[in-house]
Amino acid sequence: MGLSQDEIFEKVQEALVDALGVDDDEVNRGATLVGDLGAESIDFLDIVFKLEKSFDINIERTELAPEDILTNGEYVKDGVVTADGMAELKRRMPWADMSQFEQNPRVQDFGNLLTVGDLCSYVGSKVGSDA
Amino acid sequence: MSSAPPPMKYRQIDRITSIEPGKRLTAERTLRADEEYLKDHFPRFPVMPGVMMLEALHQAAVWLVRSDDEFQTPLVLLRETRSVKFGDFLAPGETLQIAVDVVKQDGNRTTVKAAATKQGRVTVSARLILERCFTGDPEHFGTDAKVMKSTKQQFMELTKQLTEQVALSD
Amino acid sequence: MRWFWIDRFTEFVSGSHARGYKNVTLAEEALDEYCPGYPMLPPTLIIEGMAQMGGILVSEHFQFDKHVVLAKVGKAKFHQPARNGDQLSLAVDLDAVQDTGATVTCRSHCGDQLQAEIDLMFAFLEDGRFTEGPLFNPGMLRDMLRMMNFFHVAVDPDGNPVQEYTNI
Repeated sequence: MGLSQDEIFEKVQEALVDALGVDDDEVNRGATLVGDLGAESIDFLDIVFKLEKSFDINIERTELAPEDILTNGEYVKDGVVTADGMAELKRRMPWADMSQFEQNPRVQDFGNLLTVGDLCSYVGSKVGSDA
Repeated sequence: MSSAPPPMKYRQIDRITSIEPGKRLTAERTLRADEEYLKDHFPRFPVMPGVMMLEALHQAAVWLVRSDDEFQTPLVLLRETRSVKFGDFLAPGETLQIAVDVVKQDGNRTTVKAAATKQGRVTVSARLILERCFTGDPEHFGTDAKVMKSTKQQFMELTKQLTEQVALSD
Repeated sequence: MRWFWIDRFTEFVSGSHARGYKNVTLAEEALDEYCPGYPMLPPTLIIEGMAQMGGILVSEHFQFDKHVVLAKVGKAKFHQPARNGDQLSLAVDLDAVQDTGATVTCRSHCGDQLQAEIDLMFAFLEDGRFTEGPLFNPGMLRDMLRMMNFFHVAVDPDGNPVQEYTNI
């Protein structure tokens, strides 16, 4: 008994509208959390709390914000994520679409990776989606 | 000629810098090093409390609503806050630039979005919902009349500089 | 003007909840000419009262070892203004805790009337990020808590008085 994709999207949308003070229609699947919706690091914590409550799941914040990988000297060289680093990121975040980031994996660009759709995939992997 | 009304002790706006009634209001607030509560907040790190910055937004919003209402309703009550986020701290000597914009009017309720910045960095942002209403006291008590008269005087004090500027530029 | 926006703790269970009072008086600076002719406590100071109570609840959960600061007000609703002579009954419940912050839900009543509902999110500041060392001088936080009857009522989840804190 999981949730449908639409049900997940609606709840994720509600959480983002509350946390970021944006309008419903700004929150579409392709919107990036940082670039399009203006999320800052304090907002990620808020989003985590809201998703935990909304979906009754436990979230490790570093699953959404892998600072430990991005600041690890073994995985980052000269501000660029190494092959080992990319493998770690994919292991940590298998639900995220990293194809674009992978082409030029600069740490400074990572913040703008996550889209609303990625967040829905993440939640789906935790609750078990019907779709 | 009536003398200037006693100042609001918990005033969080030093002066209103611009006003488009019903649309937008800007104001300033400078944190002075001698503000007494700083000794409690915090003894080793004096900064303006977040809710005080929020109050600056709130007071600016109230004046914006009152100016459009032409002081016909005594009370402008804060009903809701949404998406209040605290960014940077404000240290003694620093100045907040406050800006409030009306987003929606719905009967006697007004929704505004507001933010305070220092050197372009946002220290607090919020959506506020305010409601114009009466005190509910019987008319012969004079409560509503007193509030309307006194708040109008307070507003004139806060915008004194603005009207003087306008007069000078005429 | 002191920066105390709760007067007394009546209940405190570590890691769970806190209850207390704030009295609203004409002698408070904050009411002076705030709404001339119809004095009321600025609603943002009710938020602060909850933030102080909630901040203590969160901080004590970590043995007062973290810098707890108010990061967001999730939502706040004010049903009626707090007038001179009102005694606000404050209730704060610990909601959720993460490694970098926590949330609390708060309610204020005047008698049996719901006066305000407020959700707060706190963040834990890393030492050195904005300031080195504690925010308070040694003993100051302890003095404040004592004044508010914190030690008279604070218990752990088993009902035993909380440990002696030497770091506040």
